[in-house]
Amino acid sequence: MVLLLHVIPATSALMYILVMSHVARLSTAKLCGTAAVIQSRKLANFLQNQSEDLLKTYLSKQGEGFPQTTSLCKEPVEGFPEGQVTDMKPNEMLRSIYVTLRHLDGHFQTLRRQQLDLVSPPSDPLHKKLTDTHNRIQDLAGNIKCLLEEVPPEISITSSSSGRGVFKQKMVGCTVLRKYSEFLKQVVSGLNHVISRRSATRGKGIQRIQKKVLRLG
Amino acid sequence: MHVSQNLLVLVLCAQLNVLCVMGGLDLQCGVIEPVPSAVELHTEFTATCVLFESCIRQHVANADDMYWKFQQHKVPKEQYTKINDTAIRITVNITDELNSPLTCNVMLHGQVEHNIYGIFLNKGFPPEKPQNLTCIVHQAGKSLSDTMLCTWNPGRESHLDTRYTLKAQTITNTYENISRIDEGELKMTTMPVFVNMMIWVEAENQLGKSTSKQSYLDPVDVVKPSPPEIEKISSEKEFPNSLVVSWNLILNPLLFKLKYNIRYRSASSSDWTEVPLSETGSSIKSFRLQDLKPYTEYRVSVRCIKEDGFGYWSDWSKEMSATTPEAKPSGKPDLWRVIGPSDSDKNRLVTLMWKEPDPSVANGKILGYEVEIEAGRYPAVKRFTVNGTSADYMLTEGRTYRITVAAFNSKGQSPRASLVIPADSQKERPPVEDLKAFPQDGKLRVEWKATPNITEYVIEWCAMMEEGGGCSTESIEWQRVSASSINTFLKGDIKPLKRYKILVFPVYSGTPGACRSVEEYLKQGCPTIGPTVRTRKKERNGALLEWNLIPFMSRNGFIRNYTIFYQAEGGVEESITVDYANRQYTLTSLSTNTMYAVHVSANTDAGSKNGSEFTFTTLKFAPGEIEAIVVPVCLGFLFTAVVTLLLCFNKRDLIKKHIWPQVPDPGNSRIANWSPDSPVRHNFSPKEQVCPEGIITDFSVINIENDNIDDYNKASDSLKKGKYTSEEHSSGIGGSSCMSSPRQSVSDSDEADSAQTTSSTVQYSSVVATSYRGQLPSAPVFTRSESTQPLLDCEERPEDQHLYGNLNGFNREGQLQNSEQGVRHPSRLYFKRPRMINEDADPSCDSLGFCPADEVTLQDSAATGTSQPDRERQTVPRNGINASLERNETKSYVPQQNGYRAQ
Repeated sequence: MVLLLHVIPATSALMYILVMSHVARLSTAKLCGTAAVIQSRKLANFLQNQSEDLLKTYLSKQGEGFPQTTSLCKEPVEGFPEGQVTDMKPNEMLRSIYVTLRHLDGHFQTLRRQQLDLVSPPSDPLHKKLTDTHNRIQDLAGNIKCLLEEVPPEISITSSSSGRGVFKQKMVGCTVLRKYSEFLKQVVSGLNHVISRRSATRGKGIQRIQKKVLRLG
Repeated sequence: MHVSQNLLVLVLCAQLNVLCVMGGLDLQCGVIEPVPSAVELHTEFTATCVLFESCIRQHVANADDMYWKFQQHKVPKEQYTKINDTAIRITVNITDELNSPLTCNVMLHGQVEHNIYGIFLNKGFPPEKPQNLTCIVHQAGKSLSDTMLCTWNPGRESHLDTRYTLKAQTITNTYENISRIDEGELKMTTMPVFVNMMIWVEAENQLGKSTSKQSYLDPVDVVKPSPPEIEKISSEKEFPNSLVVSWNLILNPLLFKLKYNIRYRSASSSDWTEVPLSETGSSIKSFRLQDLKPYTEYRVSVRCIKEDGFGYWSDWSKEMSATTPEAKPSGKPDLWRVIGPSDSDKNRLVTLMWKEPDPSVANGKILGYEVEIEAGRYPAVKRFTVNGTSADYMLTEGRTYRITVAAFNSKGQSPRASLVIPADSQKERPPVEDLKAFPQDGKLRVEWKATPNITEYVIEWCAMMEEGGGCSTESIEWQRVSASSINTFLKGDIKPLKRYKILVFPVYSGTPGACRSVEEYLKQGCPTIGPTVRTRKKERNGALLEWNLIPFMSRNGFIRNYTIFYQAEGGVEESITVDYANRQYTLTSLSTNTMYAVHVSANTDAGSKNGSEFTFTTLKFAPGEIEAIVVPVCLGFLFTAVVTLLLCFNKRDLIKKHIWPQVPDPGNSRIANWSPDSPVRHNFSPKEQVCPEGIITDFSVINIENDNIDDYNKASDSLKKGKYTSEEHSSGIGGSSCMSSPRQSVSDSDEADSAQTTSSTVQYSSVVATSYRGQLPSAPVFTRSESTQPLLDCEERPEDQHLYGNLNGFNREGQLQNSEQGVRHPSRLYFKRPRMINEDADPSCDSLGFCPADEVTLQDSAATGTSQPDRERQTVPRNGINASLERNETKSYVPQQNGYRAQ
């Protein structure tokens, strides 16, 4: 009887946790929606289109003497996938995209901070473009996350170029933007592939999610 | 006092939004529980007031002494319950009428009210769930605005301060913003696109919190794009029925594609035509509008929306206009004619008129017209090119002509309009029957009876300028009506207050038949001016009125009749209505010699207009009436005068006797007997002293100079017995005249004399010889007097004064003449009464020197130097008194010689 009295609160607490997680996942599920993959593709496409303009703006704002071509922007930058993501299986590709986007989040965080120090005024269009791109990379990562069956562990974002010289920072920034643009092309292509594959099995993923929810409930 | 202080504290607490604990001013005595921040309307609220033990001990009070109050109104005991000795509980239904604060009180010692505690009841409702949450994101440049605007329906008013918070969440971010009651905005760093966003509204007040239904959306699906900018509208000459519209794409197409809605209208129309959405593909930048009219200006506008239809339509773009290219005229001109009278050469002027083709069929700018005239017997066609829309031609009246007109523009010629001008000798085809015209719905409607075998009707009209006048060629308008119609509305600019002459021609295969006409107004009004009335003839009891005809252009309608208003001065206005044809009217039964005000109003179907007022006065007498009265009166007067004259003439002696009564002869007075100069009087017998009728006394004229009056008085002492002087005696003769009654004069002499004279009043008369400027009167004047003064004295009369004056004046003049002679002339004439002469006496001079007066010698006058004419100086004519004397065969008058003193 005494045991029973101790078990009931523990069960209640567990049930509460389960219910809350269920609600959270329901909310997340609604935010992801069924069109997450299409939205991701459109967003990637839009970002890719914007990335070229961003890169031009970036180069133009780095001062005289800075090369106005991206061919020299070949600084070593971490976080970008080796090879083509499109060659991967969909799940791996989505996971790789997500991880890369998380790294890009860190790169843009660094880039924005450095450019705020280097390019003035703060109202310069470059800053707005960097901010918009950064925010939308996060949105794209969120969309891709919706597509992942298993969310990878969080990646600690570190500033890779902190402490370097200004020129080096600029070059790294240029390299990040160039690689970012190239990466987005792969993302668009890869997502197109995913869409074409998922169109046939539309709804299976949702059903799977629903089953999970029911099981948890 | 306590209560008011406590209430003041409560009010202050309410202002500070702080709940107060009331325990009187000294010690908190109890508490009300619960103390709600707000209470919900239309619900029950229960409050308990608990009295503290300390208070019970101090004031020896218990629950029986406790009671509730809403503001100043004590709650009856039945409405709350006693829980125990220290607490009471009240349950109330919260309504709008319930007044705060709710206070718990205790009556100490049965008479002192002590407030224990009070609470304010903040009444209201919990917020309702916001409904119909909708959001919109506007386009900003090539991208989207970073602000999302949302609106919702907050539901029932809560009456409490309610905070609305708009919230949004994506997978990666959350946003929220405090909003107004029914709208809010979420400002973001970057507007998320292609992500799902959850949006909701939370409303919260003291009574609760409610959350709207969560709305999931992708911000790109709630975008309202900016209106497109039309770049240009181009036309191609080869395609007169189409225009190409081009516009700019501003929004980044990678965000989303747009579809477009295009509308257009001709510049002359306000109705838009929209191109079906199915015909406008997405993400297009231009569109060809087709099936347009040639040579027509069109206005075009475009709007857009997200390709899939999500979001909102943009506003319509600014209009841009363009004109389609020209095309060959597709409609023929509307041809008509006016045929003038034939001249001596048997030609008639035919004016051809036509209307420019309607722009809808002209299809371009009309450059001119080609007129062809073809006579019936002569196949040769005469062609003319005319720039205007009318042309005059002299055509022979004996021939039939066929006339055609075509309009042309840069692209070609229109179909030809044709008309036949029949020969004058040709019998006219019959006109329409039962032609009527009347206004209807603000237009002039014309109706007629159907005429068989016709091809169409031509309705011709013009605004008339004068009554019975025709239409000038310039003012003529016309329209065609199909043969099946029997009525139509005139399509021109028909103006009110104008009379229109409307003619209807039946057209038989291009040949107009005889016409029939009617006159009508679109809208009648009151005449602009009224008729001016005047009297043409006035009589004793009537007047013939006449008024002018109102000018045609001032009538503003058909004058149906006239109303004559007339009013006598101070009387009631009367009126008479007479027919339009009359412009004269005779008013009868008017009052004699009375002023009348009259005016005439002209009446149309729409109203009347008064003319100016005219006043006239009826005659006092009828014509000839005065003559009928005056002539008899004059004749009667004349007759009476003649009869009177005749009567006077026949009875003159009798009249004379009445006019000049017998005057007693002063010569018979005692004074006369007393006078020493007439001792002979003593010889008179008493019988002789009586003045016989018809006997007139003699008189003398005494001329006395002023300066010598005293001498004269002295000299005449013997006569006056030294007692009477001329200055001492007033005249007793003054004021007497031929017809006057005797008048008594009062002397200013001493009393004795006065008594004497009064007692011995004697009537007498004197003859005053007046003269002017030294001329002796042609006839002496007799005056009658009742003087009480002895007549032997000098007498002074106004007449004498005048006479003296005259004489003096004469003397002044005479001095100029006689000064050389050194002669002084007497300045005054004094009359001295002569003694009476007996009829039987000797006519020769008496002892006193009196002579018969057959011829009065004016030797004395001559001796005084007066410049009398010789003839007058010699004799006094036998007229006047002398004549009467003669008639009475009495004595003549001779100046008294003795009465004069030597000058």
